[in-house]
Amino acid sequence: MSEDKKTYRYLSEQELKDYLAGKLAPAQQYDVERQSLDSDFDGEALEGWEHNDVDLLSDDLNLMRVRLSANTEKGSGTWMKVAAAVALLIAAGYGVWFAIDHAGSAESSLAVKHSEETPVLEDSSASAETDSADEKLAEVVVEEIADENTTTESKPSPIQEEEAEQPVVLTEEQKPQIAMADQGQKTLEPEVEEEVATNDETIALAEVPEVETISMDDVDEIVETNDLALETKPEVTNALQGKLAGVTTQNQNSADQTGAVSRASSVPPASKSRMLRGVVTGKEDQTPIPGVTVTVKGTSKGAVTNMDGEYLIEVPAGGETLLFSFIGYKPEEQVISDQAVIDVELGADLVALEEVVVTGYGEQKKENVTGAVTTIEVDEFEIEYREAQPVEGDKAYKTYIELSMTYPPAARENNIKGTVRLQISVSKAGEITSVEVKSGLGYGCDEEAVRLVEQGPRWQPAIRNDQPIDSRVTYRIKFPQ
Amino acid sequence: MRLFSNKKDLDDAELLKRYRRWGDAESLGLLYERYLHLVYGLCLKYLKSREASQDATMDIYEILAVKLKKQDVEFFKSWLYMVSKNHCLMILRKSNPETKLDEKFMESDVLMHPMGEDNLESDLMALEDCIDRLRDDQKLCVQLFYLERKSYQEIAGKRKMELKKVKSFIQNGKRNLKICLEGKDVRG
Repeated sequence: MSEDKKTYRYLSEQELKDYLAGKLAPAQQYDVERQSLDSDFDGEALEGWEHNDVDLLSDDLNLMRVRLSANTEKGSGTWMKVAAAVALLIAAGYGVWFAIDHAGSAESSLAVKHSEETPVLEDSSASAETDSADEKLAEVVVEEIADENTTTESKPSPIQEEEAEQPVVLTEEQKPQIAMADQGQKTLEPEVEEEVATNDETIALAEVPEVETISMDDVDEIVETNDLALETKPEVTNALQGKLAGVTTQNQNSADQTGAVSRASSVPPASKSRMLRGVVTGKEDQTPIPGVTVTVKGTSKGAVTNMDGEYLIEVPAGGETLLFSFIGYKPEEQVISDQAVIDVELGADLVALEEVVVTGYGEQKKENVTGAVTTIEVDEFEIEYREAQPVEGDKAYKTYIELSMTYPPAARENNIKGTVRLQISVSKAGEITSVEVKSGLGYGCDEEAVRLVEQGPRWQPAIRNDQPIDSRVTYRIKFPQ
Repeated sequence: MRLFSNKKDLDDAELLKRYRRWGDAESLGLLYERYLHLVYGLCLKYLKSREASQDATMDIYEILAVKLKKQDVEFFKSWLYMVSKNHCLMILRKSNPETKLDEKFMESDVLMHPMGEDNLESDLMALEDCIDRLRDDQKLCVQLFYLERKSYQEIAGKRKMELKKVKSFIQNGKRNLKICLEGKDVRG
């Protein structure tokens, strides 16, 4: 790549690499930095390079160049195609002639050399003739033949010369083919095909429909692209596997990526989605967190960590960010790049706790508590929420229960111990509208618990934002007291 | 098949002309190859993943092949930057409709008009004034970089700062300068 005029100044690939490798002298470094500040293009490209392994990118570039040149040569100037087609027509004529001639006469060493070339050319010629542009082609043929000798790069021209030199005895039948090339009459073309078919059994006609307008450079290209076949098709059919292959080669040193084929295998496939895994641990204690929700931001893809904090998630094409969230932890976002494993540490988020268990008796085990245990959803609009409670207060109510409870004889006999859980509905007027047993003990305990509440002291309604409301409270009564 | 052995030495405009006139794909290929590493780097910046970036880089070539047949492009590099970036942003937007365009998106790459002799003096004063208004760390880095032509590394070494910080000071300093100068109606 040449250093162009100032207006075309851009960071060359070598400059980029040397800069990133720290090989440049300060003045050169300044040059690169200045250029990337002056031109957004260069600057952003440099940013892109900075975040990746230079050797890998270098390989990628080489591969893309191969793909690119395959593209461009296929579509190169139309006149080249014509020239190639002309050459092929000539070769075809020669090929047919040779096939016929070959059958009867003794070959010179020259002829043997030709026989090696003919199969390829015959295929191509047959297909060139199937091209719909026959008529145009034929017209140009005449012109091109005229200055045949001037196109030095055209491969078949030596053949043409040799052909002329060869002492050839043509039969009546064979003359038209050669004539065809010279005269460019389209009417003769069907004959060529016929001749090919009838005179030479070695020509694989089956191949003809598959080959489309093969030009000389395409033949070279086919050889090239065969090496790279790995890179194109399998990746589409097996995205996941391809992905793994791509990932593993990242870890290898680029030293072994010399050959074209090995380079092809190191290229990550153009997969549409891939799998990512990792472990989520707590920042404070480094222990794995199970149940963490992992989602690909902006998509519906999600996963949950297992007991060991591990997750496996499918990232669809374009998925850029993983979002980790879990109650009591600060949500964490991770940008997805090329790695296959993303381990994450979550920091505790005390503020974000959504549920708080409050008891009026300090810290006690739920099983041992007689009293109201309510789960309150914290909502910033409902900060002013007060639970329905006995009018005289929890302690007094508890005393009432202790004193008034009759331990049912059946329960006493069977040594029944435990807690009856009641759901008490308190209207906004402060009336107990219902008492339901949520979980009971039987042996008369449940009935006794309901009786105690129904006949006991009054309750006052729950208050939300200074307004009494209907509410329900779970209340536990322990048997025996 | 190299018909023009010196094709590689042709400048952007000449290669573009060849492509437009004769549909010479090889010229376009050569031209694109010249900037391939930049396009790829740009894609990497936006798309992050190598495989997506490679696909995009190849796609951009296809886009060029179509567009350049009809469009007369004067400054290929700037134009290519715009086309490439748009393509990347389109991919991002497709995959995630909420993607916001970054603020620099509309910033023009085209060089500003040359400053006339007569207002050079006042422009310089405006620049000095704007530099003065920068935060100290930005000012220092900008001065060292633009006036003393020190590389990031040299500045980082001298000032015992992180390289990243130096970079962001200079980038932000440059942006602030630009804003400041634009406020004074001076292009720079």
